[in-house]
Amino acid sequence: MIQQPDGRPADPRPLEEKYRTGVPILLQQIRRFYEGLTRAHGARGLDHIRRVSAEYGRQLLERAEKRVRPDDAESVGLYVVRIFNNIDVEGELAEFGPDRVTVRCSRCPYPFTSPEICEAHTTMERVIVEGLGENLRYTVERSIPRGDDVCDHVVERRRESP
Amino acid sequence: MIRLPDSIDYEEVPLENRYRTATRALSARIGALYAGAFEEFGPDALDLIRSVGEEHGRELAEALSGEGPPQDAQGAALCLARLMDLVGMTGRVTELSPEVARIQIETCPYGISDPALCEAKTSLELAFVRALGDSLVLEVEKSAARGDAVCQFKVLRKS
Repeated sequence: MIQQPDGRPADPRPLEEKYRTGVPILLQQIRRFYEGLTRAHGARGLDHIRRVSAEYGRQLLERAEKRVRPDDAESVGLYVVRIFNNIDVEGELAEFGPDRVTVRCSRCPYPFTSPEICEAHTTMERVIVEGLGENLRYTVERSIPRGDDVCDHVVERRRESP
Repeated sequence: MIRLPDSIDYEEVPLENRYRTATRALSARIGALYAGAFEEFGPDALDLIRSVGEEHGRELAEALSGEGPPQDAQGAALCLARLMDLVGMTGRVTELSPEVARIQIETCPYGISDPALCEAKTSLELAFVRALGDSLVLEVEKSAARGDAVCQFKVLRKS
């Protein structure tokens, strides 16, 4: 919080309003930088987004390991929900079972319009999910930037080879 | 929010925690993106951070100036303090008058320690204040990235 000289908060608005205004400012800052970076540097820019997202995912993984049951699609899927809820993603849990969890988002909070940027950015989620279970796989099956009406983030148990 | 069926056992995180976690995480991610880009692309990255920040700063000034743009340093500093507060910075306004106002920030949420990177990142705040009024100027008096104990911003109304 930032206080005025008399101790009053600089922004007296209710927490809910501040959350709904403040978080999108940071999300937009990220998207704008991604767009500028890929415009200026193309594939190298996307590689940079992947690298930073992967590194950030590895940092979160340490905390996530304390909260979820490893190799458990349901538990890991709910951790993805937790990450999305922090930044106020709108959507629903479309599927929830031991082999497959689908988190369906109706609106991208950033919002990304480039499928390549979306793919590079979600490296973070992939690193977390696949780091929480060697048999788990993370995919974005449907994607608003690719032209779908929703984004489907899927945590799935890999089928074992016969 | 992601809607969940009632049958699923899910511990709801209080709004205050979500807000704090989101602002910290996103600021840190921005800091890492900027630092990594500077390492990878050199001065080109600084130019990009500046141009993206300036455009965003101007838009935010329009969106956050409320009922009308501030007329003096006091109003502009309070607008800037609100922006800083919204994105999770902590600190205080140490001086507030129509001609000059100062804001101190205790910790950099972006984790930026390179002075050149800090200067480029601050283009957002500089453009924000400039867009609030032609007579308003923002100066960075102290910077943790330059070795000071805090970051200090001074808003001035030019006569």
